[in-house]
Amino acid sequence: MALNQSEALKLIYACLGEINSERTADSHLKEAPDTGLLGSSGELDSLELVNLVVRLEALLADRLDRAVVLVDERAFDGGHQPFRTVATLASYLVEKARLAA
Amino acid sequence: MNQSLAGRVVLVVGSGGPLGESLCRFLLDRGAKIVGCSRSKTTIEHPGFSHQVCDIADEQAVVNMFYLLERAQETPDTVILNAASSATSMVALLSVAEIERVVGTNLKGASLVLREALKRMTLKRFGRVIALSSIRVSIPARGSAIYAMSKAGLEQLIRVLPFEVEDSDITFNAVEISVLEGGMAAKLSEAERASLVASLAIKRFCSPADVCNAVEFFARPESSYVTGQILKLGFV
Repeated sequence: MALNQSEALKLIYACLGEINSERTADSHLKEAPDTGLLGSSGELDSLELVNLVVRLEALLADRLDRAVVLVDERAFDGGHQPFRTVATLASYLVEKARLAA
Repeated sequence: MNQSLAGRVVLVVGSGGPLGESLCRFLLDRGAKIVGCSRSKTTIEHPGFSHQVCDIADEQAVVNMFYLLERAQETPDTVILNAASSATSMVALLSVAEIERVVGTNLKGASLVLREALKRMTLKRFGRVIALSSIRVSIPARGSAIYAMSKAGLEQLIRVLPFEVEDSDITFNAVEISVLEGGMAAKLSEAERASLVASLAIKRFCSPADVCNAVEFFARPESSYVTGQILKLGFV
């Protein structure tokens, strides 16, 4: 089952909403494609990253009706950096969904 | 009847051997629902027991197992790592196949199971992980190198993981078993048995009931302040 960029963004925003619910109002992550996640502009701490991955995998499993593992050799690769921003992560999800289909 | 684990879902990895079966039956008696996991089918028949055939060294098999359990609403909140591949070769005689088999089950397999289990436990903010280890980590013996190395790695995993969960009631502990009656002990000569027993603080081999008792202690909800511990059973 395919996943497009817009659908992938919605999944990520749902997860950011969960993460924001545990942050103070003045430190909420913006639900926008250019929001930094990891790297120099990254805003997630290590436990929030774990939460994001876990929640995204659960949402993807529901959406695709199969198990998906987001973390592989490419996930934190310096060149690809799929977790750099919300937009790069959305593209990564689209690709993962395509491979899982 | 002691129902200390009522309502819990316990994944017993390595449910196929005598100790695994004893653990399953014991935990069923304590009110838990049990998911057994082993490479071959099991003989346990109980309404609270289900079984998954899975080679834990196979990433996709482990991922699929947890996915299926989730779909069946049997997501484990407790994991007992009892699966182990043993080896008795001296290092100079080790084959690559032997190294890969032991490390594959005892380290890679355990890590994969914990990775998938922790994802679920993190969301629920609750979990108990209990790894079964060996006296050979603390007391070296000829021919135990690769096995003891893998178990030492497993114990290190147990010590590190408490630092990777936060604001949650997830604990990680291990039990070092001396010599299991009916297990390794059955393969020893009388002289070896006598020598081994003499080296223990408690002058008898470990029974499955001894292991079950320790596992229950770590699994109980009241044990939330006990984590990263390695319990030595019967020896010091």
